[in-house]
Amino acid sequence: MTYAAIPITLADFEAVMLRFLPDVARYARALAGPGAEADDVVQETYLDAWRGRTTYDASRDARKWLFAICRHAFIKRYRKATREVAVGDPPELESYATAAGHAAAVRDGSAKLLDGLDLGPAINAAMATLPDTFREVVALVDVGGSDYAEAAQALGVPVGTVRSRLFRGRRLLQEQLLDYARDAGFRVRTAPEAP
Amino acid sequence: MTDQTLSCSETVRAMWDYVDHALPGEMRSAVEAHLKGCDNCAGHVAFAKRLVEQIATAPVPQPDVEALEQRVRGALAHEAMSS
Repeated sequence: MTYAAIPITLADFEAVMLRFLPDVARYARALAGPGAEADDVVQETYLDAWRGRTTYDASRDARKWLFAICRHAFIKRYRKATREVAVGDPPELESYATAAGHAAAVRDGSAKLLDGLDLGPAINAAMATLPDTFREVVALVDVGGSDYAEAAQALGVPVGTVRSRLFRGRRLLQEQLLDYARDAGFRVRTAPEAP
Repeated sequence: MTDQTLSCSETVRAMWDYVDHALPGEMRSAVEAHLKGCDNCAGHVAFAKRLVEQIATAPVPQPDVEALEQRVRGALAHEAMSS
């Protein structure tokens, strides 16, 4: 295999890779949550990328290469290798559960009211509460823009596992956002008040 | 499978794959045909799409990128000198 334009010198490396630092920082926050820990992950990402610079294939997407390293840096710091979250249900069952959650939210009015809320803080808070197994695949696909196959390769799991974790993660986020709408005081009464 | 045979259950089953553009062309066409005639399923899919868009575009609290870049440059320089 031949590699074109490998950034061998530090100056070359920085010129090629540091332009993606804002993207890597955003991705690290999606994985690790806001705060100094995410900045540590970003620094570790670039150090690991520098150490492994000869494996960089310039014909491929440098941003995604950095994302893959970032994910490994995150795991190295925070995740015990033996911990896994069991996801035994077929991915499609998550679709049903998501649709059922939406139907309930339509009935109580919270679905419509989500449109009027600033969901940024709620999404960040909800992401921070997701188990790592779900958060990392949501971060890869929804924040990082990977497709199923790319996420599967990054995680070292089958595509079916990516789908299960992604769909479960999204459903958990949906539930939290709908709870956020309800807690914000926007619940719509569906039953008439007692006289 | 034809457009006419796709049920609500089958459509919901394929919802996330449809939102993620991961369905084969024939199945994607079948889902779209169903959605045109089913407000209920169309509502589920529209809500799912909005959820993904909101996750993707949520303003993640940004670090001081300039300070972070300086920190990373410093760490890289130290690493390059010591290796």
